[in-house]
Amino acid sequence: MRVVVTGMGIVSPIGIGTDNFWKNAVGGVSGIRPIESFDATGQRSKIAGEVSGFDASDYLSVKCVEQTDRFAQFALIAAGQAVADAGKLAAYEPHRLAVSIGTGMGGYATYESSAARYFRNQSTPPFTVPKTMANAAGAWIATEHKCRGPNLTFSTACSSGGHAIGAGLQLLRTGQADAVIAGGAEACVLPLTMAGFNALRALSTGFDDKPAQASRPFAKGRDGFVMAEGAAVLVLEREDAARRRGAAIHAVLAGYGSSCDASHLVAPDLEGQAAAMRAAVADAGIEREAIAYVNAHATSTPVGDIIETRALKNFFGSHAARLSISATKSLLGHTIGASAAIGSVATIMTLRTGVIHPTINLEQADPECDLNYTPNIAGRCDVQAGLCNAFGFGGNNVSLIFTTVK
Amino acid sequence: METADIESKVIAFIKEAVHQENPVEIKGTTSFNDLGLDSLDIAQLLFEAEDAFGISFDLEKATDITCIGDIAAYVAKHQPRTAA
Repeated sequence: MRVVVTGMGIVSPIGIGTDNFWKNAVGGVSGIRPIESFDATGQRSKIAGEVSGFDASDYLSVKCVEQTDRFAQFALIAAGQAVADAGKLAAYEPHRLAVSIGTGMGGYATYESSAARYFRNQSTPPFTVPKTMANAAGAWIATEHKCRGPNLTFSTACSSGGHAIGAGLQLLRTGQADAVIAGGAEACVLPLTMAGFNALRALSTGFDDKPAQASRPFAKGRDGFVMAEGAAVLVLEREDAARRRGAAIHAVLAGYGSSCDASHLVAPDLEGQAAAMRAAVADAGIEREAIAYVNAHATSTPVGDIIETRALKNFFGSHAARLSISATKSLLGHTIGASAAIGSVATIMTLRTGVIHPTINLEQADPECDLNYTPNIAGRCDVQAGLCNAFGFGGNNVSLIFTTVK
Repeated sequence: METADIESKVIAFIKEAVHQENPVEIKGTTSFNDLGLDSLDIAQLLFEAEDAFGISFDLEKATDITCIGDIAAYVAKHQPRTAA
C-alpha cells in the first residue's frame, strides 16, 4: 500500500502558490529583504524572508482574519490551495479526513503583541490564547474543510513540518484516516523572537546591506541563518483510493524517519542526522543509492552545514558524491516549522520536472562542504527518489522520502 | 456626552466592528444573539469597545451586558471625564 501526494499549496517569501514558488526557486530568486513588518532598528539582524505585501483579507473572510494569527493564515491559505489542487476530498467521510500541522512557535505574533499590552498595563485581547495556541492552524483548517478525523499538531522546532507530514503517512498506513491535510506553518519574523535567536548568535548579521546574499548555505563567509516565514501543505491519500476517485498524483510519500540527538539542546549532531536518513530509507524500502536528490536542511550556519555534509557522507558513503543537493533556505531563509513542508514541495517539484533548483550565493564553497549543492544555476537530473531533511532544536531530526509514481 | 449621542456612537462602532454575513438593523435593543455573536465574539467586541470609548469593562459585570443599549449605558456611566 502506497501513500501519495495529490495536492500541494504554499505561501513563501518567493511566491504564493506552487507555480510562483517553483518558477522563482528555479530562477534562483532571493526572498530576503530588510524587515518590513516591524521597526528592526534595534535588532542585530535586520533582514528576513517575509511574505512581502501579504494581505490575509485577499484570501480569508474578515472574521477569520480578525480571529487568526499570521501563521494560521498562512496555513489556511496553503491548505486551501492544496485541497483545491487535490479536488473532491468530499469523496471521503468527514470523520476520515485528518489534519496534521507543524509549527515551531505557533501564534507568536499574537503572543508578543498581547504581552507588550499586558506589561504596559493595557487590557488583554480575548483572542490572545486562541490565536497563539499552536493547534489553532489545524483547528481552522479542520473547520474550513470539515475534517472531523484526527487533528494533530507537532512542535519540534525546525523539524515540526516534517513530523506533521510523517504522521500523515502513519495515519494513512494504519487506516486511521482516508486523507490527511499535512504540512507546516510559521510566522515569527517578530521583535522578541528575532532578539531571542540573536541572543543565541544564530542569525546572520553581516549582510544587512546586501540581504539577498545573507543566506548562503555551504558557502564561505556564511554567518548564520536568516529568519523567514511561510507555510506549505500537502494532501496525502492512499494510492488505491486516490486512483478510484480519479485524482492526479504528484508523487509517492515513501518514507519517514526520525531520531533525537539526545546530546545537546541546540548543537547539530552527525549521528542523529544520519540516523534519521537511515530510518527514512529503511521505511521506504529502497536502496540508499536510489536517492538522487537531497533537499538539505542547510540553514547557513557555520557549524550546521558542515555537520549535515558529514552526515550525508556518513550515511550515503561513496554515493554522497553523486547526489544532487540543493538548499531551499538559500532562497527563502529559514521558515522554521514550515521548512520541511516547503522543502517537501521543492522535492516533489524536482521529481515532477527533473529540475533541481539552485543553492544561491555559492560562488565559493566552504572547503569542508564539498558535495554537489547545485551552485547558483538550476540543474537537471532524472530523479526517481528524493530525500528532504529537517533538523530542529532539541535534536529533533526528520527525513522524508518522496518518489515518482513509477 | 448625552446618552442618546452615546448610543448612536456605539451603534456606529458596532456596525464597524461586527462583520455580519446577514446584516440586521442595529438599534439599542439589538441583542448580541440577534447579531449572531458567540461568547468569543462578544469578548472581542467589548475589548474593542474599551479602546474605542476609553473605558474598562468590569468582567464580573460584563455578563449583564447582552444588548447594544447595555454597552451604551455602561459607557455613559463610566465615560472618562474630559476637561470642560
